Amino acid sequence: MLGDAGKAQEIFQAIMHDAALRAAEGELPNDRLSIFRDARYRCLGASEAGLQAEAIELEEHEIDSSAPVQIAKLEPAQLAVWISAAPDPQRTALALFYLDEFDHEELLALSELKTAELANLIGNGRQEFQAWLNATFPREQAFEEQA
Amino acid sequence: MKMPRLSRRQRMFVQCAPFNEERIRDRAMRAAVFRVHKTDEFANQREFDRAVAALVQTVPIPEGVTAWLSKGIYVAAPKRTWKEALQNPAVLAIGIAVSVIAAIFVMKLIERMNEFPGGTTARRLLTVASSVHSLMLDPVGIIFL
Repeated sequence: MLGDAGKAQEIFQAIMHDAALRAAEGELPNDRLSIFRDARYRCLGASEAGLQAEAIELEEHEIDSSAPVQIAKLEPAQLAVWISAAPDPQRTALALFYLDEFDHEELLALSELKTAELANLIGNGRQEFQAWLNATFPREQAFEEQA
Repeated sequence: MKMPRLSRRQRMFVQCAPFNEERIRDRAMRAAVFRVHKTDEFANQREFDRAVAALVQTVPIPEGVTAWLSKGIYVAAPKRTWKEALQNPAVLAIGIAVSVIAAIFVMKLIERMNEFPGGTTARRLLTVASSVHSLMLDPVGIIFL
């Protein structure tokens, strides 16, 4: 969500600290998603305070069968930076979707989106990411390494 | 294989269907995914999603994070409502058994209440009376006279 491990850790520790205080007072939340919801709001708050990504129209490419090879060349930090640069709620949708932690209903509840909106954001996100992959690892290079 | 013709709702479900089969709990979404699961387009989408998720899994987790998580539970255990408890098969079976026993008990009680209290004695007297000959009662009649 933030593309910055240090900031993410600070937020994580703040959330855990609050949760530990609540646990000590016997006020544990019943909802498993409440911690993720809290984390999302804090991340959005933190990213609003820092540098903002410029809103630009990204190119979209059809998903290529060689995409897994292109993705395998990436560093996790590059993916984190790409996702964190996406505007919200697309950033939230992509981050939660690829975390592989939630089912569809939970995704909708956490992102506060409707199915149509979520589908649109994820679908566009895939195609934008594919365009970025194509720009970063041009086809010839990808195919050469695959061979 | 080519993409089959899908409704708008099905297209939406296919776009945002979790790439992990275990996380597809919605029946309509499962049906939509089943319709397209053999198409090349969907196979590409799945491969793409799984590759991104695999990359996400490689993100190193700082030591502090695991230390915090090992400290305790931060979400309360879900409370059981009466409705959920009643839907438990064991509770349901016990409930049915108790109600059958109660029904039998009530039936027996009603049967008892309808019965004449001196019924057995009366029946015995009638049997004796039916077996007595009129000649045997003559001495008694004479005494009365």
